[in-house]
Amino acid sequence: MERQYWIISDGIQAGPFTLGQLYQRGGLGPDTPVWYDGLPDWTVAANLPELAAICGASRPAEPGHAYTYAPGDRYAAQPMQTETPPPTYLSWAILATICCCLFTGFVAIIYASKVTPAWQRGDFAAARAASDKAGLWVAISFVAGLIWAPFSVLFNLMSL
Amino acid sequence: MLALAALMLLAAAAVYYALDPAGGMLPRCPFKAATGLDCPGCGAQRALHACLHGEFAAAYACNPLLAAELPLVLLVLAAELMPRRLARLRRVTASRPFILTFLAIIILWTIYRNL
Repeated sequence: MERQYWIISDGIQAGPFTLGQLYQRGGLGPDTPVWYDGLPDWTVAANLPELAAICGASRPAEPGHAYTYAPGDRYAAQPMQTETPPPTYLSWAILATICCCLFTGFVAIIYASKVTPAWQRGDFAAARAASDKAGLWVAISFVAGLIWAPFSVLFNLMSL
Repeated sequence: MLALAALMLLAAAAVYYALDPAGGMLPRCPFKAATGLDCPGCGAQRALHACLHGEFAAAYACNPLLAAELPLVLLVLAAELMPRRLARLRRVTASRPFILTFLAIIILWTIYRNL
């Protein structure tokens, strides 16, 4: 399969593109951040020989004069590209809301609703964080329910 | 992992078949105990009990929302478990409008049943 490239264009992560698509797309500059699966971190287009021609670098980056791009928080050191977003745990969140604990279930559902929007705007870290929080609140709900259940039964039995 | 879940499900089914929630041997709703109001899930245990005994009308009466949304919840679960095969479904069930609508329905139902 052809190598897939991701770039940062206008502050938004875009991709994946094949080399041909990058060429057709245009807009690639020597400072455009680029990543493909196999690179340990983002680099810039000027540093990749196969992109040198299409990114308008007037000459290949000389060793020691490489353009550098400091990865910011948004463009995390390992942009993990998976084809599907992290789980929303929505079905469990709904069950938790109905069966166990209403309010913690609500929290879980709200976090579940944040996963996809974050993913769609390229903020993968935020998407994963929302997913983790949704899962956490589902777990809290279930644990709360499990703790409550025996107490409730005991209470019922005592008042019989 | 899956076997354990199946076992737990079977155990739960057995318990709810044998015991009638109205009899008081099963856990009560903490929300109801604290506030006296029905939470969205109130009646779910009785509904399950009725279902296991084939009394679907009674089950529906105990908690209509559950009857309506259980198929939806199963769809959401399926989409989460098989995100690649059910990609189009998952795009809907994981979208914010869908999720927040679901939440709104649950909240509205809770208000409605307590009026």
